[in-house]
Amino acid sequence: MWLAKSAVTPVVSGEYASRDRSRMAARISFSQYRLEAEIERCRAECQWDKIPTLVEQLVSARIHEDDDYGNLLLAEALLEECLQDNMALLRSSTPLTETDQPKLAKARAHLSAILNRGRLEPRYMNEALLLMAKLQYVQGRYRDAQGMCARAVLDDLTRDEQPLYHLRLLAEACVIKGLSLDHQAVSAASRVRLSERQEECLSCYLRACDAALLYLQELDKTVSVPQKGTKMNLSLGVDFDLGFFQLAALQSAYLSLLHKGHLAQGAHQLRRVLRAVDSRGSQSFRKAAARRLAEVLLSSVSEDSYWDPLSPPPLAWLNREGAAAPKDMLYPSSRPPQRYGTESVFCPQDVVEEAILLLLISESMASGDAVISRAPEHREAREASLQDATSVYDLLSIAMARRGQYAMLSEVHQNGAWLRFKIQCLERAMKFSFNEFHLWYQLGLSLMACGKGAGAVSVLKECSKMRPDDPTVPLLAAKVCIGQLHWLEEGEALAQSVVAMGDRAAELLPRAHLAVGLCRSLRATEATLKASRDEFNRMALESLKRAQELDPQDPQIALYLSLQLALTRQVSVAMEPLQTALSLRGDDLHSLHLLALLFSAQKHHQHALDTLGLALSQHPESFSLLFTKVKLEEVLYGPATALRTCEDMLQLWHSRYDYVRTSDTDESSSLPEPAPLSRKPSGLHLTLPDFQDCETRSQSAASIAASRLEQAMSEVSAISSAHRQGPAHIWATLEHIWLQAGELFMEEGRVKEAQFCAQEAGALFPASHSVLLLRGQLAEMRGLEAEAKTLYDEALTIHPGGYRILLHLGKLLVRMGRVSLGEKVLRDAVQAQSTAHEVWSGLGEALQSQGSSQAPDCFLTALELEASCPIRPFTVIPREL
Amino acid sequence: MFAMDQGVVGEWLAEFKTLPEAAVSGYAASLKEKTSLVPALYKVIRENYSDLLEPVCHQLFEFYRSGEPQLQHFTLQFLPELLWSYLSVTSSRDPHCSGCIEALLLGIYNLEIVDRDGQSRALSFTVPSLSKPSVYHEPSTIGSLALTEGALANHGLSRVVYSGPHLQRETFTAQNRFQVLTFLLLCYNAALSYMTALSLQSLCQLGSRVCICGYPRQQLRRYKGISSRMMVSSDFLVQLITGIHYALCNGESDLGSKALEDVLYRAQLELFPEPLLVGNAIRSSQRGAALKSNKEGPRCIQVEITPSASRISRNAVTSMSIRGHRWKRHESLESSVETDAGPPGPVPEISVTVANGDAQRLRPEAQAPGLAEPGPDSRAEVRRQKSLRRLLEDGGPSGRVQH
Repeated sequence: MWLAKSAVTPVVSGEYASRDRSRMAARISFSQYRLEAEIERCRAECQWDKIPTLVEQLVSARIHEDDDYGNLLLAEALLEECLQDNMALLRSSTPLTETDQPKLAKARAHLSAILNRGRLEPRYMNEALLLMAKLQYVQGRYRDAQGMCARAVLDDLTRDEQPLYHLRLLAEACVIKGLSLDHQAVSAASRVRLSERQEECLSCYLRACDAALLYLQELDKTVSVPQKGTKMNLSLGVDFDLGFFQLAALQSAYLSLLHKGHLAQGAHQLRRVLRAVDSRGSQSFRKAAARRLAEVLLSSVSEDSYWDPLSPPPLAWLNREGAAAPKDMLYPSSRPPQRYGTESVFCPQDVVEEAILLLLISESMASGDAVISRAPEHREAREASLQDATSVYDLLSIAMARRGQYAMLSEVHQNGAWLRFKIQCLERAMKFSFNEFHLWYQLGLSLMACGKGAGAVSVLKECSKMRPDDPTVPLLAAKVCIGQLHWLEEGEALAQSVVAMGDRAAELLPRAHLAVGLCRSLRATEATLKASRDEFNRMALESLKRAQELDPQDPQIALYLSLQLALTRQVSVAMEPLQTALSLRGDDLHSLHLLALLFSAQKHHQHALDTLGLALSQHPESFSLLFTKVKLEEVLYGPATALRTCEDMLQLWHSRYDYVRTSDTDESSSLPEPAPLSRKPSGLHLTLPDFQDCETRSQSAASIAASRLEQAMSEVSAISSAHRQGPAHIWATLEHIWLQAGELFMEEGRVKEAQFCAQEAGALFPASHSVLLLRGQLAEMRGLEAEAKTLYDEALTIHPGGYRILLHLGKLLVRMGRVSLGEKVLRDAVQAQSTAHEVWSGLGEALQSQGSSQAPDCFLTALELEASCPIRPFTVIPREL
Repeated sequence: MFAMDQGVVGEWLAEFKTLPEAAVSGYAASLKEKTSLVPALYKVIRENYSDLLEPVCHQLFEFYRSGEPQLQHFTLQFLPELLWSYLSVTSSRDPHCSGCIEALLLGIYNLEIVDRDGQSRALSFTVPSLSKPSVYHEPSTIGSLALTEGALANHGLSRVVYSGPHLQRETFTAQNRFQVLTFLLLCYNAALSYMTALSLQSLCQLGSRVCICGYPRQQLRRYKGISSRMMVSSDFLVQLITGIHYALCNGESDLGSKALEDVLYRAQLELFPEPLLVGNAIRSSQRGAALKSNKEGPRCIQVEITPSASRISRNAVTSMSIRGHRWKRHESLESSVETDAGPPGPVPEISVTVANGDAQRLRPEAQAPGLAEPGPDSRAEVRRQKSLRRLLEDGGPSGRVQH
């Protein structure tokens, strides 16, 4: 009705009825023109607080005859300010009432008056209609809002020469139309109408989204184009806030698709949104959208059904969602926003790649946003940024764990941790919130998963302080302490803290006793004084027995109880818990190995070898088992048979690890990055304990230090660095095989072959004490006693506690006539390893040659020990949680 | 097993054998219509002693070997049930009746570890980098804020192998069992989008049962079947969780969340960090989603209000604003203390290695104005920061920190 009137009322300078700019330009003064421009700019940038002043200027300049234009501006400013104040209510679609919102009432009064008088020219009438639609929408009058939208002429807003704020109005109008339809959908009767309506909604949303993106991009161009080096003018709205309807315009399309469960189309729309070139105003929205897309990809798109971001969703999937083609193809946009290029840029080819890329983008924005102010009024904001960070890190964890990238993950978490730590410093209470514990715990776990043991223990200890009732956290730390770090005291303390929880530790209580027992057992092995060793052994046994009482069904506990008994040479008693272990888990590597060792200790070598055969059928690639087999074969069938097994081991080593080595050298020659990092290490880690533990490199602190030294020394030697890149234990295994073969050749008297083996081993670790020991023995065989002594001395410098070195040196000294020095060395050997019968008999011989009366005691001890001596020390069974 | 089921299965067995090569893809599409077939096959697999088990396993393998994706998915949908059947038989050590299931599992494994030319296959992916332009971003707009990206760039990795190459396996041994089963689950997970609800349910059940059998929690779940504990490996649990996550988000929220809890329960007992890490992440993101959806209206979409720094307050200090004003005289509103960050005051001795080479970038933050209150408390704070900083750096075994 009043549209038809199209009365053109606002009179410029009181004379002209038209506000047509070309005609106006000649007449109006420059200051008036500037005023107009300023108003347009404020409406584009949503600077509503400036509008009243501008309207006052407008009135005082008497540009317009009546107040309708000014009232339109005021109504818009009032309405928008009211919306800004009520974001939460808008979000929950709670209608605003005029009684609660005086601004709303004023705005309505203005708008009604304008529409009733109908004196404004069409363009402004159109704007008034849209504002009215918006007002009715927020009041929950959806049908009226829809009617208003229908009366407005949206196409007028899309023309190129239109002011920027019209793009904003267009986006808002479209989304209001769509949302209004959506809110009424229930009342629609027939299914056909319903789906028609849904389709119409969606087309509105899509149009709204494109318009909103374009608006933000255009806004970016007009607002401050900061030159590099110049100070950015903060007042120019650099940090631009999106209003409710702008956010709704951006999000509605994908939200409604995802809401309906149309994942493929929803993901497609999210991708379209994110493909639009970033603008300043869209940053925080993009952060959320990127996270949302990553979430959809990770939770609902599997590898085989993935399609890349530049292609439309697969037809089969679209059909499943009841669509024939992506919606954006059905409703092409007249002015699409600018999108990122597709030429020579990275385009993900895999669901995890895309998710990680999106999360990195999201995180790069999140870390900028993190509020680190301590003011109480920012508390909510702080929590929100923490929640944001949490969800990004959670999704990164899910994505990276699927690819086994724990090392990367730990670094990601570390970065987040530093930022969070600052937040935490501001507010202690945060430390106890769920998120805070969770994020620290995840950091600890990721450090543990990628083998950064020391860091993991420290972080886990912090976590434990935050949540002292959780038994898992300290036990995880204890596991790292025992296995990787060999911090036995620390590990025992951590496990004890769980034991102290008693029943509150529930199912983990027996594991805690096991951990305590293992620590004590390992400390007993390391102890130098007999008294403390016995004490540790006694306490270890106590803990392990307690553990078994609490959980008789745990095969690991039964195994370690048996091992502890074996270590104290209670061979026949050890059989009982071992049988339990084997009945619970018949094919367990360590249990079968221990059984073989126990048989060998009882001198049932054939039984032992049969057991090993069984064990090897289940664990054909266990080098530890094979080394035991070599020893048994040597005893049963002589060195020749054992050497054949050594040969098999070399073969096995090559077939198993050679690809690692070749790929290392290949890649390191062409690329600087270390290849093994990229390889998922778990497969190799699983068998790690098999290798570190032949007796000369048993896990004592001294020998760990020794092997580090070796490694360091070998590193500087001539061997190429590429060669050393594989996990150290792989090379240690190879060295061990060569040394074993060398010993067997020596046994056979084949010095040359033995020397070759020593050479091969030496090429791997030139500064290895085991190699030096073998070379010393070989020198001795050839009668080069002086050279042998030098070699033994060198070996001792590297590994001062090595009892086999001490034994050979001592015996050599005795033979060379330096009996008392030899005796001293042999006594050291006894100190170092009191259960080795060779050492006792060596000492006995030295004492005998001096005519000492103690000699027979030594021989007796040796005899006694030998009676319960396994073919390889029981310590070859790794003691780990 | 009813005669009717037997009939359906028998028919299915006979039909495929007589099928001409050309008709295979049409046949694959038509399988969906045989609604009673899939439940009948589940029954066959569950009943270990059925005479039909061997021909069924054989035909499922033939399906897989055909290379026709729909037939492969048909076979894969039974994988969780097959794994459960295999594992439960293995744990009860009744070796002779799982032979054909073992053969089927090994057969699929051996097909999947090689590519079309029979070469060992290594699965790899590219680690994205923000420093290179992508379809979603321009490096210049990201700026120097990407802490994580800095960390990743240090790896200098682009292409990363995450599974394989794997060895052919003729038999299961204790040593290779979980390596094979883990890889099979990986294949299953890759095809999750094609799996039916029945298959997802079976996966969740597999997850729950493998993890709780023999433990006190079994009573809680009231599962009466096998009561002996089954071995698991960390990687196997990670793959299980990945599949359960999909089930959880795609229609099986009850079974899925139960299964997730059960796997986490076991991972805690085994002290496996990897499944705990992923499982916690999933649980936490589900928790976030639940918080959101609680507020959400039943029908209508809900716009997410993204908090921006200025909405919070134009004066709130964000890490961005601190970095932006690094060298600017900055008056903080929170503490009325004026701090001149220009010539740095006492710089806390913090060696920053979070992202190697980022030390320069991060240091100014450590003494960002408004962060530390003057007085003894702030001293302690700096000290705490220091020690925490150090523990984050980890380093090698020398980085031990005593608290």
